Amino acid sequence: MDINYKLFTIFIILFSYYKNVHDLHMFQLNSYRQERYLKWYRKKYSKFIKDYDVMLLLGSIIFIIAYTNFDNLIIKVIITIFSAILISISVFIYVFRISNENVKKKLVYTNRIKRLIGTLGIIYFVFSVTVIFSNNIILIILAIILNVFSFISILLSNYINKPIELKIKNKFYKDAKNILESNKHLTVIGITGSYGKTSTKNLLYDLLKRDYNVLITPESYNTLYGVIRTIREKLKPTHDIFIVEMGAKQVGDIKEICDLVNPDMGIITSIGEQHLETFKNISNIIKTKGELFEGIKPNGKAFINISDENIMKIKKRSDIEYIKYNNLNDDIVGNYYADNIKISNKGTEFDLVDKDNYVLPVQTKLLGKHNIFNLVSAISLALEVGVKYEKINNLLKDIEPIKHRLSLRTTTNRYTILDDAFNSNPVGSKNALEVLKNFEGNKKIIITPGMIELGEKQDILNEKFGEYIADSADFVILVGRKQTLAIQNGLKNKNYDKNNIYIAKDLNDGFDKINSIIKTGDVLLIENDLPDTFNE
Amino acid sequence: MINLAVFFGSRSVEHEVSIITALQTILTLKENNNLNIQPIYIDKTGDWYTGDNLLEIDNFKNIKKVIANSQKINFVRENGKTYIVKSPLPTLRKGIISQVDMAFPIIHGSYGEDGSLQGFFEHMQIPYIGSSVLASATTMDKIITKLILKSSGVNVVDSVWFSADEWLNDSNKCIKLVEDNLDYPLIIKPSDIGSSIGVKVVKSKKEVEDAVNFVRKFSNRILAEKMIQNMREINISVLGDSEEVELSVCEEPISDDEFLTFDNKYNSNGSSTKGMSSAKREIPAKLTETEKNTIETMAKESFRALNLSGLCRIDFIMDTKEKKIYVNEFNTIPGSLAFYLWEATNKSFLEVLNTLIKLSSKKERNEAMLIRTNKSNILSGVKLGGLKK
Repeated sequence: MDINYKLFTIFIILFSYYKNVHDLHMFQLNSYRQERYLKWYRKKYSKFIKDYDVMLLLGSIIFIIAYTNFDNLIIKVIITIFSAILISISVFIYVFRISNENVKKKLVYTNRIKRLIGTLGIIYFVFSVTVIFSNNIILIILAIILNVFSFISILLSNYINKPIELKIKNKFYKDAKNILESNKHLTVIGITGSYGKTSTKNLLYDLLKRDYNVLITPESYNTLYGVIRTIREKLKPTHDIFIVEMGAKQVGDIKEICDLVNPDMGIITSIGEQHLETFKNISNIIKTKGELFEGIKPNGKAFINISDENIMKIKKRSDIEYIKYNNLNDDIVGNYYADNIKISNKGTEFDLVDKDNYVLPVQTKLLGKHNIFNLVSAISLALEVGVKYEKINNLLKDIEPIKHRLSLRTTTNRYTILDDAFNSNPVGSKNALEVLKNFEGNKKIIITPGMIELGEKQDILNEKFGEYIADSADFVILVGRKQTLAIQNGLKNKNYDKNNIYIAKDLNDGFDKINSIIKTGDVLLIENDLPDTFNE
Repeated sequence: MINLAVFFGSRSVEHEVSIITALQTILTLKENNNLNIQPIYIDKTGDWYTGDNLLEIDNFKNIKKVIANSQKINFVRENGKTYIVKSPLPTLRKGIISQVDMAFPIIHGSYGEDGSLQGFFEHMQIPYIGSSVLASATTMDKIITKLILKSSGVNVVDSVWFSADEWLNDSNKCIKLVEDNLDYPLIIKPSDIGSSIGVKVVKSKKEVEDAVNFVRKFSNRILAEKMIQNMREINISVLGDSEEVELSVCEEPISDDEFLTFDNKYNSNGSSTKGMSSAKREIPAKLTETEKNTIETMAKESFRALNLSGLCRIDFIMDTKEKKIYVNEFNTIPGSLAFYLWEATNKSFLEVLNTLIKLSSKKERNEAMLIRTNKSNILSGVKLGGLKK
């Protein structure tokens, strides 16, 4: 084989190596999960043939044909130059593409990434040495394949590194276990559920943080390795309470985390049909979430939402205490429940009643059914941990709703704004309307462009949304004639008075209308995907 | 296991007392199985040491030897944690001796009770037991303490003050200030030294000069105070923070023994202290209900006004003739941590120490919730070209 051949092959290998760094970044973003990475890869590249690969293949084919079929030096040189141009274009396009990719998270050079880069380096080094000392034409073909399908090298180096990674993971696991065991007075609270677990975790933290040293697993650290990392980096001997959010995608996920942290208390917020594609069926979901109650230490406490029939299907244990609480407006009564819910421009007020019929009047700035329900579970947990009843309201004072998610603002001219601008899902919209309906105020006005990005069901859902609006608002402002047609139909279905509907050209037109009709004591609900410019 | 570093010794006139208090405390803390205690001895030059031989009181009879057998150390912060490391650092190893989760300063007087060590802890981000930098520094200085207490309506003994420089520039002016406001006999004392060292009773104008020149050796700020003729000393201990406080019974010291000798040290077997000679102190002090209530109210109010937290012993002076009660001084790290007062109040030394540990964690939590830094970098939008000219 000719020296040019070898140089060409080594160049292709170097280019692959460059590509692989970017591939590693993507591999990292898919949390090093092969199946997830491949799925993502297919999704990203299934729709079109990558132009830089086409250039590379063309250049390579021309080069190989020239070198195998022509002996004339001039032709060789001309063709070499031509193929070099093609390959350069390929490199250029590729570099241009990835530098213009909008990636939220940069590649983090973790030790694992460094190890993968090391392994890749060794693979390519051996490959290059082979190319130098061997004359097999297959090598050049192989180099091209590895370049076009650059993910193959990633999977290969990941496979090679597996045993090392496993050793390291085990070391981290043991390390975390030791840290936990050396902290004898630590109370571990496990939280899982299909929805509401993050909110409950944060509310519970707010209720406990004044009286105890509390550590919570940060956002999106709800896997076993996230928990291990939290323990190794953040858990100090001075912590009293460790709140662990446990996420699950398949059977056994929660058990893994419980085996590590041995919770003293556990709460399952709700069980619904989330991650069905990995769980296959609801009974697997119930089984998995139930692993938390299985994992609670003997004589521990399980907080059980008795309004959730799926949670009630979990097998009971005799050696732990079950603290029952229930959903709002439910007839069955648990150890803790909410009563007399009132919504006004001050927020929500309700009575938390406990098993001894002690009534704790609670006041919060949070609005909406789901929030209040999460609050009931967080308060009952906090009370069971040992927070005093009389402190609860003081602790709640600092809890603010998240901006644009059913947050409350009272304007200078004394009407109330319910800001739910960031909401875009049917459940949330219905919740917001329920709050509006029960709000203590004069006229209830809603402004909305309707829900978008809901796929094929969008029109049906928006029509339903229109019907709900008819039940809860006294005046409706719809932004955009065309895009709110479905909502208009929904209002028609309910024979809503046309005089109370205003169709605005755009947002400004809508707000002009509001300013002309709104009076003291009125309530305005701003609902759904309004553009970010609305931020006063 | 909480790694608790106990600090004692330091550059203070009460160096030895501090050693005794610290060792009494460590003895009791050993009953708490959740603690890993690291003794940190600061010698009279300010060097730091650790080691097991620092736990025996008898070893301190020969300080040179103790130091020779101890490991010199420094503190470093790394990855959000604080460690004790060997000094000088070994060339090849990290030299880490232990992690520090919490600090317990048991140093009386300067460089320990005055906020300076507390400031070090703040910077190293170690939660620590006792009062904050502000409260420690304030109560260290009698002049400033009086100014604050006066404005919050707590009775303090009449006094005037001047600085050493003012005295050197114009001593007659200072003497005039004293005589215009106070009658002889009066007391001249340094403003900021922990114990009763350097206190002079002055009976006439002649003695003022000598007294001030003596007191100047100890402090740059000099306090002249009315002398209460028919006085009783009453002390009380306060434990708590801005949210809630507990009060101990009152005591009346009869001899001027500042601290308990180590012979009648605290017995770790939980029985009450032996050898607490009643000749030295009267516990509880004989007080009328009204007097007791007055003292308790004053103690609470001063604790609040001076932003104290953790443990404190507050010393009062009673004028038996005028029937008046004054706050005299504060000890944020009192001798023997005033445990004998708490025992008489049915709170064991161990319970007091456990409460202090809890309070320290709480203080750190509350601090962590405050906004202390700007999230955005103010410099990012500024033209910085003008700085170097």
